[in-house]
Amino acid sequence: MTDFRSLDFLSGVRLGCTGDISTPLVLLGNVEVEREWAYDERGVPTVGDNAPSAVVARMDELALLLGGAGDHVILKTAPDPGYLDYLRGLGLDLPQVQVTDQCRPTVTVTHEALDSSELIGRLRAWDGTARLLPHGMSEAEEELCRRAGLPSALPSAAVAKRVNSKIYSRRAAAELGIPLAEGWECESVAEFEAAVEKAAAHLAEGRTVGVKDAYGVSGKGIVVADRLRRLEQLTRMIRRRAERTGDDRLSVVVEVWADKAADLNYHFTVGRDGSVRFDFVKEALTDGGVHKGHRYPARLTPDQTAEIEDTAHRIGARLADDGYYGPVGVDAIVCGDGSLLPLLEINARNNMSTYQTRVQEHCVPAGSVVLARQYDLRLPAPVEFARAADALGDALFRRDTGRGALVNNYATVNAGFTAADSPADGRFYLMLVASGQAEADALDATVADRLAEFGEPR
Amino acid sequence: MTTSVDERRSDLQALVIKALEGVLGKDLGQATADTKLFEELGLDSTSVLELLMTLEDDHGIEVDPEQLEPEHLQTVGAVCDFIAASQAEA
Repeated sequence: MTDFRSLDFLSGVRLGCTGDISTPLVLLGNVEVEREWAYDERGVPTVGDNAPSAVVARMDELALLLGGAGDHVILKTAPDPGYLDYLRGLGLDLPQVQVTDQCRPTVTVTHEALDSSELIGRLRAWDGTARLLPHGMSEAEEELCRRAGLPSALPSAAVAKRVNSKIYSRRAAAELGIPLAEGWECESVAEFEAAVEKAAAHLAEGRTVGVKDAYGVSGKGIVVADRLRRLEQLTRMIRRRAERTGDDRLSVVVEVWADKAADLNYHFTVGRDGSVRFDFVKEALTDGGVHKGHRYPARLTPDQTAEIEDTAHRIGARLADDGYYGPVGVDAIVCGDGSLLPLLEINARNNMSTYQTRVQEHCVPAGSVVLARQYDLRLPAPVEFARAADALGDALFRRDTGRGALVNNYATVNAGFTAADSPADGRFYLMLVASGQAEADALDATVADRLAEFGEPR
Repeated sequence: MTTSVDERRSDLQALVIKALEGVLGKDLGQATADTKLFEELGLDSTSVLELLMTLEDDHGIEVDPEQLEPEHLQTVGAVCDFIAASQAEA
């Protein structure tokens, strides 16, 4: 079995997924890979453009902080030089940056790479020892592996897609005897109609019911119903679509919302040989079901922590049986009575928390409280890293004190600027490292106040 | 001079903005026909679905989501145009 002991996070992934601790990795932050998995699936009716936003498409830069000097990272543009200097000043050795040939605002990093003949030419010239470690593996990343002559560190897209379905999560939980929210898996319109009938009784008792796309991006593709009328409307839309297309397939789960006290995200690594390493558990900060960040350490009792770790090992073993290896994050909740629903959904891919691991290991002093969060602003003009660092001033993280706001992605700040004279959405990702919760909250307020000089908070 | 067409249009825009306020849970007193739904209001594909359901609930305006194209969702005014065209066809 893989001996993960004494290995840092990425070394464990490297060894577990490639069998060799010295394998160079080519990191690819294809965040929202779910869009690829959802292609040709029938979920909750969607409207609008399915392309990622310009900001989301630049979350590729999160992968910069995952690798070390022997690794590579594919990015849509070279990082802000001031940001690179700042990271090096923290003592971090960084992967070599491989930039795509162009950067179109709403094109994912994978598709940008596929359209980059120069980049692919460079990758093809390598000696074949490096492996691609994407955020998650879909057919688009498989195509990149083929064209670039780059073997993958992860199993096939078909395996990844299967185990990332929320239907798979629910069925695995049921088979493993893991506590599960009341709900139903629906693979046809008829199954959905039957589930709505069952859900109606819970709505009548004042409960809330969610309908989730089996392959939805985290926090998206969810319809929340607090009355039967909502489910009836949704049923009508789904039925009309099936009649129009002659296709009654569906991939959704219907769940009765639990009485939640806190969201959790825990993380483990599955090796090719079925070994499972528990990595960490963090509190997930959400707003209206949408991911907003993390807080750690998670405020759990020893019994709750033990239950999470035990569940991680059982799910990991099950994923290995089904052919998956690589990083895994699981969403869970603490209920109002202190009990756990330890498996809401399996994300057999990198998670936002994955990208915090290296900084955590190298920069964050033991015993710290960390709030990892995002600050969304409407910016009238681009903001260079040096200006942001000046504005943050003494709130910016310093290695010598081990305290402050550590910037863990900067490309999302200026991603929206396609025309220089029009305002755009920008997003700052910061890890607030503090000695305790009160200090973290005060730092949060200071950072929000200082960033507001650049634009209106969203 | 204000025409009845202008008034109907103004009423429809007020309904759409009120429905958006309910979906997004915030005051949109500054919203106009030119306000962009995704960029400025932060709407996403799921909240658009909720917007359609709210319009149906509160005002009997029924819209099939699958008929909506991205251009119908650019601005508050574009949504109003689409609803007006749908109602004229019905």
